[in-house]
Amino acid sequence: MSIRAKLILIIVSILVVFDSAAGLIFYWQNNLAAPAQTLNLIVFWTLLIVLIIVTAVFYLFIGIVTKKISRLSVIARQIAGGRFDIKLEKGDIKAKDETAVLARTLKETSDRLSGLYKDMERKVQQKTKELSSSLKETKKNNDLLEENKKAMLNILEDVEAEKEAADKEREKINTIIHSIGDAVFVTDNNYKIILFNQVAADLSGHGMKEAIGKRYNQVMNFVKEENGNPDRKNDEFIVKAMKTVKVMEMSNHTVLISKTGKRIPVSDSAAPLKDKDGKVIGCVVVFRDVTKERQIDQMKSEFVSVASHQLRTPLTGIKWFVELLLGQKAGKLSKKQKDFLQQILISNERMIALVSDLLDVSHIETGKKFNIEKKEINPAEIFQQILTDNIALIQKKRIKIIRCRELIKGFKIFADADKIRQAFQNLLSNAVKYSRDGGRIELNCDRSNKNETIFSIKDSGFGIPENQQKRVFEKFFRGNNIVTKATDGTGLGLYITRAIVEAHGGKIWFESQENKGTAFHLSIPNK
Amino acid sequence: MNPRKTKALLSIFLFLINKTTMTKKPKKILVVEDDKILSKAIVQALTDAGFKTDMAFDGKEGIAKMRKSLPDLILLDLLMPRKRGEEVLKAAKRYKNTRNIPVLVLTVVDDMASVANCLKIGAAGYFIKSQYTLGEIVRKVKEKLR
Repeated sequence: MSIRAKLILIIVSILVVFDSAAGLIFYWQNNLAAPAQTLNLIVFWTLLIVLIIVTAVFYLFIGIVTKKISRLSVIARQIAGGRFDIKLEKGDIKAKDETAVLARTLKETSDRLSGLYKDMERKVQQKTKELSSSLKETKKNNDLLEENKKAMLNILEDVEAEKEAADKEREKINTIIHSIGDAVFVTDNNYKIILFNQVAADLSGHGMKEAIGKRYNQVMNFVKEENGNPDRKNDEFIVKAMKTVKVMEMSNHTVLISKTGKRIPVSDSAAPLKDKDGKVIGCVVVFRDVTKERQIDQMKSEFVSVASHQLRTPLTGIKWFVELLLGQKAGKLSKKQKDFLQQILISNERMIALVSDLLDVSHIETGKKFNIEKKEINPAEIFQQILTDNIALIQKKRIKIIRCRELIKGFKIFADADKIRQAFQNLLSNAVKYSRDGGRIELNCDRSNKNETIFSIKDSGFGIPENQQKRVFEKFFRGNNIVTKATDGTGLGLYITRAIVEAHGGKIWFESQENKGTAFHLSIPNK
Repeated sequence: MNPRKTKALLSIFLFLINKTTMTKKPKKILVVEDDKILSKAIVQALTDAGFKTDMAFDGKEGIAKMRKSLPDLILLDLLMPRKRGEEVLKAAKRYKNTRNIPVLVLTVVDDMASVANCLKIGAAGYFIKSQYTLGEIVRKVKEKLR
């Protein structure tokens, strides 16, 4: 029964009750004292019973409806409370009144809500799951981050330690560099000064701060001593060191012009700085003031020069008087007397040669070098003359001399005749002196290059011990193995020979094997 | 007499006279050298070779003797007291009557600059004493006088 029907029924019941009650009241007032009291009494009671029944039914009905609604309201509260597993009685659903609709709606609502809830829960779970996995990921990342952070911190600590160590190292190096008695400066590969020590500052007159960052040649004014022209720089050794990646020495007689214009003779070298891959990243230049050394050298050379001149005069006296005696102008000589005088002459000649060598050395050392006067000369003639001069010893030692065809036929070169003769004479007399009896000497020349002629003097003699080959061109050097074999020899010949060859713009080199022989080669430019 | 013959005879006669005077009149060499030992050796060698010699022991004396005796050749040292050899050489070239006397420098100075300087002033030769025997020096003198 629908609510509307029930309401109508209630209203009807109320109307019936009110009607019955009204009838009863009316009847009570009008007919109470009437005769037909019995009938009236029956109607009264009937009406009363109807009223009671209707009231009872009404209460009962209201009670049912109220109960249903209160049950539904409990359920609704449950739903509101989030419990969706509600149980409706079959009667509530199946009934055809509004409470059933309400119950069904409630049921549907609860079902949908439950579905939604479950769906939501599922989604939440899924999300939770996702979240938890992402959380895991995040944690992992966090851990990684933490580790990285730790590592970073460690690295930072290391870096700090390294920096400290590097600082210390740098300080140490700085201290060392600034304490070095020689001037030191370092350039980067753009020739800019990056380090400049105190001595460099003192010598150049440029302060450390002033020098750093500038191109080296704006600060260091190296020029050649002889011309002294400040525009003619003499610092190519720095560029050369960087380009060739080799240690380069300052050329001799370099002068540093300081900021105040003072001229300071300097000497030393430039060494390229390489990184671990061998790339040139800069250059270290070390130099020192050689004023005092220069003065001592000067004095030494002057002494040698004076002594040599003073020695020459008496030696010449001996030479000439022995010659006069040998000429028998002072009387006839016995064979023995002649022989003895000959020995004096030979010894004297050796002494004269030594003095000449010493004078040459002093000339080389004072930087006067040799004045080379080039003219057309025939090397074949020079060799012929040297061979003639040395013929006695060559024959005595039965040495076979082999000359290449060109050195017999002859040709022209452009050189200083006396100096070239001296150079060839030194090399040939060495070859003869240091050959075994019955040895062989080859004289060759190579004219295949248009610009120069290469002369070679090859012997089959004692050779130069390998560990001494470096010192061959040094002053006063004589090989260990020959000192005992040949007493004469000053150790100046090759030193002078090299100076002569270099004064001509040529080169000298050799190859040698102990007990096999030595070959000296010298190149003389054709012009 | 045939003038041609006379002429020929005269020339032969003159030639003979010339020849005898030449042999009779030896060339005179002035040796300017401060070292008496060396000077003595040179003079000995030159005398042995038939030259007439004169000696001077310093530069100043050298100039005086050169101007006075007008030698045929001068052998000149460079390092000497009272005027160096270069001064003597310059003096020789300065005066008309000494200008053509050949001067051979004979010294111990083997500096190329010195050689060049002496040749520039007018030396006829430059020799390092210790590198030459007396025989070679006499030969050089004869070469110059030829």
